[in-house]
Amino acid sequence: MENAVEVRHLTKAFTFPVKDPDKGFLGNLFSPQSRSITAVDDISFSVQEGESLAFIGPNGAGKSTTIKILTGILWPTSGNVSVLGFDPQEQRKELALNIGTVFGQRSQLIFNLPISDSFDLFARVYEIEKSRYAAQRGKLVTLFDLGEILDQPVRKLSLGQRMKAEIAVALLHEPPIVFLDEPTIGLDIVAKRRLRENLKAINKELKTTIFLTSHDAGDIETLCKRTIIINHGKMIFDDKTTNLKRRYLNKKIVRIALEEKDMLDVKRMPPGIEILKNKGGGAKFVVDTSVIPIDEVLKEIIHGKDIQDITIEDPPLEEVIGKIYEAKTR
Amino acid sequence: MEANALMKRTSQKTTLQKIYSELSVMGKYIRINLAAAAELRISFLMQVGGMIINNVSFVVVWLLFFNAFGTINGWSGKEVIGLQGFLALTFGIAFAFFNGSRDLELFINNGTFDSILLTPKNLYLRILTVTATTSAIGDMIFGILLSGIYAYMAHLSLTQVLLLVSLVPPVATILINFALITSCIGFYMPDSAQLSQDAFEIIFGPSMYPSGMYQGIVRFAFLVVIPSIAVGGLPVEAVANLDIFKVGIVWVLAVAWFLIALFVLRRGVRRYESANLTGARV
Amino acid sequence: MSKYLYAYFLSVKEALYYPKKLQTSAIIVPFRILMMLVIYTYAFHYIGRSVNGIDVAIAVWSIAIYHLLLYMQFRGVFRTIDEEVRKGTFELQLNKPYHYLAYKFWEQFGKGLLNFVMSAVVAVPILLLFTHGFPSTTSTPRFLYALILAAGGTMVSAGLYILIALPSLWINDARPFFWVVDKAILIFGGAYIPLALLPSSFQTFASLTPFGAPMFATQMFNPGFLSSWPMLLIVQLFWVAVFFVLIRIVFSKAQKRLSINGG
Repeated sequence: MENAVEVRHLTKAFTFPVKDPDKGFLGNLFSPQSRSITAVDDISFSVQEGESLAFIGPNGAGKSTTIKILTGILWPTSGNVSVLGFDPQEQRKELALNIGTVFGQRSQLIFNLPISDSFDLFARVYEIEKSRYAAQRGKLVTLFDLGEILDQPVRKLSLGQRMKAEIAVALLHEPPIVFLDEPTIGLDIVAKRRLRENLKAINKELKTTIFLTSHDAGDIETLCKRTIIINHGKMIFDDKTTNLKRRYLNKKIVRIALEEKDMLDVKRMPPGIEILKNKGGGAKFVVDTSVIPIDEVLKEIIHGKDIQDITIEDPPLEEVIGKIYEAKTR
Repeated sequence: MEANALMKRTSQKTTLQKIYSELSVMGKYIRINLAAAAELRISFLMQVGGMIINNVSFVVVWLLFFNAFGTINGWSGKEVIGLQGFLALTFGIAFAFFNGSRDLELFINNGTFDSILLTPKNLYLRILTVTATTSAIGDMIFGILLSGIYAYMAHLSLTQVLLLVSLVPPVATILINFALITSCIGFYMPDSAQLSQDAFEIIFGPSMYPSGMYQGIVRFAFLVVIPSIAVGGLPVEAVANLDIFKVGIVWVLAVAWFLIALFVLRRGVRRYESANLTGARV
Repeated sequence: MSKYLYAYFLSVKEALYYPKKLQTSAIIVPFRILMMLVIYTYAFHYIGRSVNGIDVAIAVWSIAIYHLLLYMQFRGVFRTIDEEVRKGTFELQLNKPYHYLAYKFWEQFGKGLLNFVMSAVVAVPILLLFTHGFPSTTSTPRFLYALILAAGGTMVSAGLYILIALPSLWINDARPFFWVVDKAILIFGGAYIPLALLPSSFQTFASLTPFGAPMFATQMFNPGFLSSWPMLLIVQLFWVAVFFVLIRIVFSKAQKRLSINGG
């Protein structure tokens, strides 16, 4: 299977003028100084066809720069990039016919006209044959539940409706790969869930490669089997999303429901346990599994207690990602 | 006890103190608006510069007109310079400080009118001072320069100069209140920004043309029905001929348009408060 | 239908969704023309003669054509490009399979059509009534040549406004270019003074520079039009060619700069 995306030793540096306060206006005009910032620093990765990848990092990490290079908007300073076999720098127009892009904060729909007009326009922009267009449009309208709002001007739609339409339009020409930049930003929980389900379906049924950037851990956990984390231009993590927690956080959150008025005996707690709550009827605590295995903790606690219910959870992904960002910053 | 103390404080203000309080708050809002605009220095300078370029082009156009036709009914290039200078000055003063009169329709439609209504200050003054237009400062600067050139070219006496300056407040009052009236369309019709702008242009457009061309019924229409001549040509004619009657007309029209604006505003606000607006944000 | 023509069609359709903006063209433009009619009628009556072969009918019709043709020109494309650069939607369109400038051209072209029609429908009958028909110099060839010059003028306007919009990719604010160009066209295009009434130096400047070229069609009723129109067309074609070359150079530099340094 050919890789949808191939990135080898990609580096991108920006230069911009800086004023030297000691030089004065004329000095800065005739002998200007410039500074260079490396936004992406020698990164390499591949994305297989049909894969769903989360490409995340804190603000200013180099995510948007990388996506812009992959879609042909920016040129790399050095390194090689190939998307669907195209060189984004040399073959931008050919590549454009084969990718879909959704930028959560910037709309590509026609604001004052119904969604149907944006569909028709994109059909022509992407040179879709009439018969294929009719079939694909029907499929997307059903999948994204756009039937009732198809004739409404975009400016009258809610944010959730608009985002569904944005993604549907980006998929109209059946691109093998779609780049999504913060697609669920500003959406309520229900809208987010629905959108994620739709994207999962597309990835599964149409084998569309998904390249996602998001600050929403729910997007990452639900949609993407693989996560790359970039910070200060460098890749600091590239593995399965499930391993993100396993590798970086050795903690489990345990909730126990006990008999009424019964509490945990704090003195008997082994090391590596942090009690968060211990009231009559229940307790909540965090176990550091690098200090003590979870089964030993449970053996100690269960001993002599009448356990009504027990829940063991991983900490939220946000916490994991936050710790990774902070650790690498330090 | 604290509430009673507060009530005691406001009821002790005399009328004069209340007026002073209103004016001082109004001044504060104006200063804040201008300071906010000046923060973006380059944009500020661009807008001021752009307006000066715009105004210069209109002066050039009319100078070329009189170059082709010569003096018409006492109007020549010199009078046009006076007209454009005076108009730019009064327009600049009116909307550099009191641009809220033009933006009222916008406030009604985007929901910010509620917070304006809730301000414990005079509503009319509050509306006027909500926003300022940076480009109008360019008009003001241009107006001062051009008026100075006119005064020199026409050899105006000190009396005439003072008369010209004294006509700035009533003319600015007419402009502000006419803008407010056209903005009040927003109380009756949603999404009427374009209509309000068009209605304002109907007064302001003709005011920029030499009023010597308006005679008979046309002159009457543009003086009384739409006060275009009152804000442009009439003050210039009044100063040139030291015509007190024309000065009086300007002041009478200023008072009249002020009262009409208050009436129209009050009716509009009552309609807004009774939530009869279609398209209002609730 | 090609993607660019469809963009034109959608712009026309979009204008229908904002009928209130059409009312401006139906009210304000005829109002301006009417004001010019009042002024020029009085001016010509006062001096009791024509000026440079121009009478009140020719003067007012010339100004009316300027204001009507303005809707078929490209002032708006400057604001569109300037705004898209500042908001960041310009670069998003670079990964679309069309040429950005060609797309903007057709999109803008569609925006003015309905306004032109609305203002013409209202203004022309008013003028016919008050000037007692078309000017005395009217003839069918004049209409034909004016149509050709109107098309040429549209292309010159497109080139000029697109070219001055492109600096927004380098500098924060390209509006000063717009103001200067826009006002120059106002003066040399005959927005309020027909070209024939300007001093001869102004007329020469207007006839040779891109500031008068967008509005050469306004001269259609002038006495010397039938002999001068071929030269006017050549001037327009010259400027279209110059702008075409300049835009290609500047846009490719702009794209390169954006691609290298992110704009």
